[in-house]
Amino acid sequence: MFTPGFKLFGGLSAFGLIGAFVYGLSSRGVGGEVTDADYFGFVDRDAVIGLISLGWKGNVGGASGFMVLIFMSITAAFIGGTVVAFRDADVESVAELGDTPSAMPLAQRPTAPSWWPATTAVGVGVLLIGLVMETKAYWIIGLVLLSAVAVEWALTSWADRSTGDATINSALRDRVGASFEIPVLGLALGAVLALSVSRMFLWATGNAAVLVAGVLSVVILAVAVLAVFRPQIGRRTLNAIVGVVAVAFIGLGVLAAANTEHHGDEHGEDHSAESTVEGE
Amino acid sequence: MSGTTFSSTDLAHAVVSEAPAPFVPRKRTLQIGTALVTGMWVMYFGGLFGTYVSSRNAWRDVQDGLAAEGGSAISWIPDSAQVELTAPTVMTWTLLMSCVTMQWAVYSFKRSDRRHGLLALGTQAMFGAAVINQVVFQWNQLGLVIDDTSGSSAATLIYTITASHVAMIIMAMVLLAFAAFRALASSDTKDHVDVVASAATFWYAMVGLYFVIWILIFITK
Repeated sequence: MFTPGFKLFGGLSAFGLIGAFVYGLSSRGVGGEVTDADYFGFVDRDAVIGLISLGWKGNVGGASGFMVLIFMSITAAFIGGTVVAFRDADVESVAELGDTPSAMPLAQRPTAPSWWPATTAVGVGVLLIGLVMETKAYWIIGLVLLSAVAVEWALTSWADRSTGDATINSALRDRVGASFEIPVLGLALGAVLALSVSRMFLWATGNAAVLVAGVLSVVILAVAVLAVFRPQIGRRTLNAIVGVVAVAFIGLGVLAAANTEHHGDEHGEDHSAESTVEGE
Repeated sequence: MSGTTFSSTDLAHAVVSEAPAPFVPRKRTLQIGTALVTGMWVMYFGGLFGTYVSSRNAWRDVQDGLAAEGGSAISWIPDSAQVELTAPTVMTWTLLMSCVTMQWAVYSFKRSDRRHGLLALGTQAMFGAAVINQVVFQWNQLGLVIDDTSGSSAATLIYTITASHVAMIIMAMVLLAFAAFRALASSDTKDHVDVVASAATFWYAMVGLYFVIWILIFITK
């Protein structure tokens, strides 16, 4: 009648409830905290009323411990109720839900490792940091990450259940996902590269900007020439070269942006000093 | 595909018709998982409530001692804050009503009634959004300053508890969206009763916790 899971959690629930009452009685003292325990508090009518009414009337002793024990009892009772309702997921119980009630449904084979749970954690972290620090860029990045994860994770989940063949599932996922992943990622990468190059131009002045533009153009041309005249180079090698160049551009752009802001601050100070003088 | 070699993940040649049938997921896994997550939330709030009541009792004892010695006592929730019962009570009733619509969604899913199931989920989402709107309104109305100089930690704890509850509502709404997505994508909503039942479990726990917040913070203050 009662499953082992129910007995475990039911016992834990009873333990929490009894523990809460014992703790509530024994921790009664000055300020209701555990500073001056009164082990004969159970004869006190106020104590009994307090415990029965869960603190609505009367005193429950150390409120913190009492509440935690009561909630532990509630939680264990809830989980115990759930596992007994599902008969501890025993074979007959689960088999009854399937198409063939006499046989236990096969378990799904492990699918490929997924990055989406970890990306979700990063997205939530960035979002919270952005909200707490009131940094608009951070919480926008967090929202974008979470939105992307919502779409990608749903797609992966759908594909994993499409057929019983993991290879075909993966191909199906790519077939649907590539239709929007490649354009979106291409646009995003292009935008980041354009932004990085623009930061470099802002940082450089006069002939230096021309020199930077020349070097960047030569690098891009060199990679393109390599791709055309050395077709025997593998796709992975070429991807790696393009990736390194892109990362180098972005890194230089970040460095240039940091230095430009520094200069900008100095200019700002100068302007404020000038305006103060003018004001005088 | 005869006589031609394709990459194992060749997009153009993934022959779905020849693939083995997918595994049927075992039922109840999601419900057990949701029960455990719900238990985690309940325990988290238990800790918060314990801290709140303990801090409030300790503060009041100190202030009572000060008043007995002839000093002026400072209230737990600063006098400058405007704690009104209207918004929390409206929220409590809204959440109670939402329990009916939540059960309506489960009922419709069980009977393969997609239209009413989606309608119920939509109504449910509206209730959730309405409660979040009320919470934000109440935060503005309260006017609690989080770095209050009186030394009372009421503002910090009230914001922590209410914001945690908003996070729980958002999570419940994500579950509802997940159930709605499954209903839209599936030929029969009956196959996804476990999803909507899991969402309902989590929702009811969230409503129960708000009831405690209502009593603990706004009724007993």
